Amino acid sequence: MIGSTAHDGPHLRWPADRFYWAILDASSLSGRPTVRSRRQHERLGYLFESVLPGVTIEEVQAVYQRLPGSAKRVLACGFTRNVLEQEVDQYALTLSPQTLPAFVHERIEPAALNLLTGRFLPTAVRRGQRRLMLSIGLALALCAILAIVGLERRTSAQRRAHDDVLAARTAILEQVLGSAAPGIGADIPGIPGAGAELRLTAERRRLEQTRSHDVAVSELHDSARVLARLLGLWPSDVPAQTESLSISSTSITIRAQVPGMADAQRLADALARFRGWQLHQPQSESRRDHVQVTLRLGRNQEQDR
Amino acid sequence: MTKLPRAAILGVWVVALGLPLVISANRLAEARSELAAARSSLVRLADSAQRIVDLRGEQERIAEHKRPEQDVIARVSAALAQAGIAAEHFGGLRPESDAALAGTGHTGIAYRRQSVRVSLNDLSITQLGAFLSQWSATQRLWTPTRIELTHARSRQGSDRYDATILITATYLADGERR
Repeated sequence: MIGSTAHDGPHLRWPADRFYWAILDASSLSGRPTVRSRRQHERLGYLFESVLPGVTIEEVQAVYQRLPGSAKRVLACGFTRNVLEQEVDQYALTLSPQTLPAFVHERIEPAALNLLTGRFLPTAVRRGQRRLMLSIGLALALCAILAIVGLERRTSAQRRAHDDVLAARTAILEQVLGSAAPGIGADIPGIPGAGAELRLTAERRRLEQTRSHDVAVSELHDSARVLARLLGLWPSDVPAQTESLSISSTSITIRAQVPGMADAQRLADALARFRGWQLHQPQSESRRDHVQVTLRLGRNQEQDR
Repeated sequence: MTKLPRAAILGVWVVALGLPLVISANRLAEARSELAAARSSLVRLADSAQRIVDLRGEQERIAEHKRPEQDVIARVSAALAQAGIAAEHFGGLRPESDAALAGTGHTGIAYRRQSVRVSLNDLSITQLGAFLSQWSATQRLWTPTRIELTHARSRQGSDRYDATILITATYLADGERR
């Protein structure tokens, strides 16, 4: 294990015979034989200790490298810690064997077996790692702050839009119900604007009920319009004295006095043209100095409104 | 620095950065949700408001409640005055009927109809026409459903009539209880 040392700048390369070597069977270890985790490192240390000649694992700085292939085999490489403390100067960054021992047939880069880890981690590396972690942390903090600022700006914009919507809502309610209308400000507790909205719903319902387009409900037979149309058909050249005139939704009855039968006929002919109404057989009765005529009209199927 | 403090610092760091981020994200989600609900409510409100404006622009066809006799007398008197007819021609008013409108109520709204008989005396046809025209223009709730004219006996040979007009209005049955 003892041999000459070689310097490659801050990267130390020592002869392989100065190191403790072993190939460990890691099949007894649960899980993948990774050598990174602290727990796995300890377990491998116990395996390595069983083959160390007269030293405990606590006295040896060890690194482990998984050997390629399907078998769970791990190459263990160790060095006495006391010697490391004495021989490794403060400027060294790595320490690894120059070569691998002859019994290792797998292709492994010796430089990968760096022993300056853990408590032997060089101060410069440790400082670099801290600086890197600090930079990453600061970068993450900056990203988080920017993200929070962005989120808060969006939230603020959403709140402003919400306020605009509420203002538009109030404006609509004031426009429809009036600014002095109770209910604009008097809301149901816990439900903003519910009072005014209820009033709006009630107003709409009231208007829909009182302005119904349901013909059966709202439309009534307008006798005034019938009378107007009837008088429009009345022949001006017939000297008639109307005794009575009755208009209902289904019938019209006219009793009149005319000078002669021909006048009665002309009156009947004129009113027979009343669209939507059917003239029944006229009744005429000759009196001493006039003719008493009674005309009845019935409403047709094709009703004239 | 040992592993444990480093993990603890990392955890504190993650919480310190992540917690405000999560809170902000939640606030944004909440604001978005509230805005969406408010916008949806505004659309419904605007629809209702427009509907109300449209309905207000339409003529009232159905009264909210039954009209008292005095109200109808006032309306007839006003129409007579506006038609230029002297009040002495108003012969009186008599309630005729008040009944539920058949076939309504299945939609949850029940209607009733009230009819009132109005007597007008000693009117010329021109005056009657003026009155009916005025009435139709101003009193859309009340429709003349029956008109009876009788030649005025008091003035034999003159062209004047006594008129009996049955006017009818529909009103909400619920309004009767108000």
